[in-house]
Amino acid sequence: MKKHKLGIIGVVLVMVLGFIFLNMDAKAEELTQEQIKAYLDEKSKTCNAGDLYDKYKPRLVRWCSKYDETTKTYSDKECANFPTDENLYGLGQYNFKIVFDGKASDLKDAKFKVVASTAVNPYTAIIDASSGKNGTNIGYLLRDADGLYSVTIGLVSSTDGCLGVNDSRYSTITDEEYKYKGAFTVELTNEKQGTEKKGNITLNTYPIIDPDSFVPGTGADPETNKVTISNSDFNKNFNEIVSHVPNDATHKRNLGAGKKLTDTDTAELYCRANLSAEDIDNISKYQNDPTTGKYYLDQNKDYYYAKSTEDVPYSLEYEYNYAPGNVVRSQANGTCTRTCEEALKVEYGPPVSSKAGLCFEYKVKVTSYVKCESVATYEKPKITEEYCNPYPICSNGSPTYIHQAGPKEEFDSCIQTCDGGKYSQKCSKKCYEKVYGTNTTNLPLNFNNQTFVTNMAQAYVYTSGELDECLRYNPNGCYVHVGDTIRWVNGPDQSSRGVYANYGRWYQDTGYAVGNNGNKVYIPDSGGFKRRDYGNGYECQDVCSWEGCSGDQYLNPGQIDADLKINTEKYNAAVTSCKAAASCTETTTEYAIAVKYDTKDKNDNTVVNKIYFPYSKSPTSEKLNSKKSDYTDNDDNGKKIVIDFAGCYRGNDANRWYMTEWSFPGTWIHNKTGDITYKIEGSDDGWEKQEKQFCSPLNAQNVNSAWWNCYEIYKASNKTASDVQTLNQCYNDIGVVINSSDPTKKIATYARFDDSTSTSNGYNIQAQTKDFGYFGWNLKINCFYALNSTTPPDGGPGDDPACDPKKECCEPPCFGDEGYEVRSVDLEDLFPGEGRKIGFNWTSAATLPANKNEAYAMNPAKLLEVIESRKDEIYDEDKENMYLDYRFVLTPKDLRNIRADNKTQKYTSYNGTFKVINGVNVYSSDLFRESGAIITAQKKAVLGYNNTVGTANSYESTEK
Amino acid sequence: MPRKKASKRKKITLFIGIILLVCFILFGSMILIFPKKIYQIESRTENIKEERKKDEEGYKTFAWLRVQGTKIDTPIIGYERNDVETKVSKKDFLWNIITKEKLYNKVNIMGHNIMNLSKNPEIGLDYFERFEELMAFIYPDFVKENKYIQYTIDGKDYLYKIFAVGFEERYDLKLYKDNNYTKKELKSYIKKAKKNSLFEFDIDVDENDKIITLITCTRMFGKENSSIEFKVDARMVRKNERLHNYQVEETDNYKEIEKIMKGDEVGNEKA
Repeated sequence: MKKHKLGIIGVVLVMVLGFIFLNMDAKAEELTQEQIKAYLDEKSKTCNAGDLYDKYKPRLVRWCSKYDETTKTYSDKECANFPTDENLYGLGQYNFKIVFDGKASDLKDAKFKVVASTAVNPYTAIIDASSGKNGTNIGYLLRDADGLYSVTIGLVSSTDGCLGVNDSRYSTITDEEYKYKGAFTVELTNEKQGTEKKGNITLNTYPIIDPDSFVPGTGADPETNKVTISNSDFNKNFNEIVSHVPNDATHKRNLGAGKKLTDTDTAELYCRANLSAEDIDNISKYQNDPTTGKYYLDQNKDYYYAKSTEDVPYSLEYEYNYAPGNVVRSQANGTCTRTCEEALKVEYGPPVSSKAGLCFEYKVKVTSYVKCESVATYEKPKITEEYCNPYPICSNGSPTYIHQAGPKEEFDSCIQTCDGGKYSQKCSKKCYEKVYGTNTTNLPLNFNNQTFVTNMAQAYVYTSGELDECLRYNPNGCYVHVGDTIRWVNGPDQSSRGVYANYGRWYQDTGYAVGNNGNKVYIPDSGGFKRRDYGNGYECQDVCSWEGCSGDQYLNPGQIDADLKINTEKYNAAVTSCKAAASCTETTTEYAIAVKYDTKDKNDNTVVNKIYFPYSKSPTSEKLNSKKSDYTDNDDNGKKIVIDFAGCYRGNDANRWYMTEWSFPGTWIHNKTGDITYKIEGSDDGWEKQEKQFCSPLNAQNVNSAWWNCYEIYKASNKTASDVQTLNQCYNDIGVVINSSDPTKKIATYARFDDSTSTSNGYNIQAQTKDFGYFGWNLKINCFYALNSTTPPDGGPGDDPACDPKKECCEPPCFGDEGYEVRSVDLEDLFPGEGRKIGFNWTSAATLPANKNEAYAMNPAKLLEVIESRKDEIYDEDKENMYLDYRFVLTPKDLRNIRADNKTQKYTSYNGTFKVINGVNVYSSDLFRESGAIITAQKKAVLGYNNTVGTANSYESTEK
Repeated sequence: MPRKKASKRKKITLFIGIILLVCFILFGSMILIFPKKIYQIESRTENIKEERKKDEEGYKTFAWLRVQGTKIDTPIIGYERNDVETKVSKKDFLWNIITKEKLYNKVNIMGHNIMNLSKNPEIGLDYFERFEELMAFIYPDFVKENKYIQYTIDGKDYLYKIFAVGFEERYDLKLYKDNNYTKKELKSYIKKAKKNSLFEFDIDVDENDKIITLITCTRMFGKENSSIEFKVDARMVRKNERLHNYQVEETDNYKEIEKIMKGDEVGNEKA
């Protein structure tokens, strides 16, 4: 091989002057060249990558190292100069070093980007500058026996804050590259002089794209964002979770090699019962505001961490085709050790205060981030440039008598003398007598001290496939192994070999003469050996063999490159596979949420009702996995509890994070009757769905009512320090304490949520997930709701200390009695905003057409319209008779009578007379109607008639 | 009375004419139906047995060869060992390096030629033995009249028709091949033999035929090219094939040989 020397300095100078911006790696080409240029132009205002280059002067030097079989390392042996026209393919591996002025510590956090590509296979690596010594680093280059390949070395530094690095091996950007803003690359040119270009290593600058500018989903499509997450966010979130993980064996797990969490390994979480005053304030403040994310209080978050190291199996076998008949396959030793970590956060809602017949929401959210790092330690393929040339060894065998068809040499010589080689009959006879005598019966045989050559027609043990392959790479012929011996097999086309045709390669490589030598003639025998041809059908008959090579040496040079290419590809594939980031787990995750509530049977016994969601009488679950790129379950009828999911659950290409939030599927309430159902059977006419809410039935019994009192009293208070004290005392009184031996345990003294409980007191909401995330986390989140439909026994601030809220309704707030609410309305807008729900009677669902009951026809929608149009007009005295239904003038006597009545009657007690008038059920109050009236109404409406505005019969009250 | 005599003469004449015609027809038919045999096989199976009785130690007679137009009617021996000197007392013998007593699809028979090595070989000298007479096949006139070879082995007599006459390097003759040729090898051999042949024979031959090659030494191209052998190739007569004297013509190869032969006419004097 020719060897030239190219001044590397000249090349570097040319390239530095040029600062050519080449196109990016194909995989990075998500931006057009125009975009790149525009971006660079913008960035160039604040940074100058050229300064970095000038300062550190990185340059590429050829590193000539020898692979040491024993130590399995490459020796440090630098080539003097970088050659220009050296064949970069063929025998030899090319190593390069990036040498720059200064020390590695000067370029702290710097990385080199190496791009080496063949005509077919690009290969990129990021090499850590800090791993080198004295400012140097080493790069490896793929070799390709067939094509061109190039090396691009990039110097990446964090010092000038300019550009990022794109590692085009991966479809996403790794975090390391985000860190290292400020980069350029250099490519070293190595072009052969002349027309033929064998290899190409170019040195020039290389544009790098700011990764932030093309990370998919950044601030763009929220659905896409749910699949991917920017690397900075990923790491920030991961680290944040890890920083919160309690340092105990429950929360921090070191799983065994390749292990995941078992099915029985379930973490039980409990929501905190003794909510602080601030918590209660926040709940009220954020409950209906989904945008803040503060629904999940800090104390209702739990953090976990797990780590596992496993050896990922990979079968690696190298093949060395030393010769046909001697193909050695060796299993490469080594491991791919992958360490994965998962940081998991559980967020769950606070306990809920509610009333029977009302609805509430309860949510749980679990998020995790997974990081994996792999270290591949595979044995590299053997690299050799050398092949062995078997040489011929011949030895005399036993003597042999040869049967010639022609005369001896003496005869020929005699003829030559006799007639100059004409072989006339006269001379033939004469010479015959001279040489052979008169006895023609037994022509003396030629005796020579040599053995017969037997035809090498024995069966060969190599396969035709092996030979074909060898001949493809060595068209002139191959040495082959046959058992312990080596033989030579000619290639198909010997014309190019000329005089060496049919001779073993040794003759050509050594230049051993194979032509005629004066009168002697040499011919190749079928074994490729050169033999003297003595004429008359015999040859030199020494026993010859090919010697000098062992079984672990290549006999045919063309195979070496082919083997190395294939073996290197195998090695690289193994390393790439090892370093591939862990993919999303394909395990299916399950989600469920369940609720308990109590009712009474006809014998007044408590019945515990358990409802499982997805709605079912028995436990069931909703499932997600990473293979499902789109959540397609449209069953909305009590089955769908997952309200949000992201990361791996949105598809495989998802940065290895997992998120799911789930809640109740919803409850249907009948507009008229108030009945509830969690699943619609048949038509949903007349039913209205409360999304994501659980609504307790009207006959649900009180549960956790003591807690409810503590909560609601404080909530209704002025929130002074005294009120806070009252709250804490209340918790204490009812036994809601934190386990003092373990402050992290947020367990109330209420009974646990299990099947043996005879009531729904205690933790009556349970959300579960099974096999969540990478390691398959199992979580049970226990929380509770409280129902109380009675007046609290204590508390209630009131301004009037004499007011006993047990007995009477004090100054606001009034806790109410038996489930009613008092609300002031604006006549102009009876149901303002979206928050206030319109009661059934005011909806069009309550319309009663005239043909149903002529006397009691009703059109609520129209009535609403009329009321709102009249506004305060109804109070106009000159219209009094038109719109007034009732007038009471409360005399002192009336007030006394009322107070006396309240002492014995509840506010919603129905102690009047029940009647049917005009086909409708009416209630006639005893207070001012009927014979026992205790007060007098100056005006009262006629019973059995309604505001029939807009119907066929419009009725105006006439009774005074 | 003269009228009566004249009538009788006419009858006799007519009778003789009819007889002659019949004879002519019969004779013609005989010639057509029973043509003269161009070659008559004479079995040599017994000759082999008899000759074998005279064999000495170290060789065995196992086959026989006859060549039309020559005195070659000769036993073929095979040497049992090559590492000891084997004396053969037979005056006239040929040999095959392959000594198995079976018919191969390619047979190589070698014979000595010491007395007929010149560029203008003699034909039919009485002291010629072994394969001196084989050189006669270099002449077109001889080839036109003589095309059959009889080979006896393993108790059977086989007849072959010559399809090529020419020269070949010894080491290309594969004299040591001790098994049948593959069809590919045979096809290749036949093609080369016909291409290099001095004569073109009007006869089909392909890789399904069985071939015999008679080989001997020559100094046609000088002593320095003593590795070039003279050979005659023939293929076995096919089943139901007619034995006849098929056409033969000189090729361009012969014209080249002719030039060599003419270039040495002066020295070709009879002993």
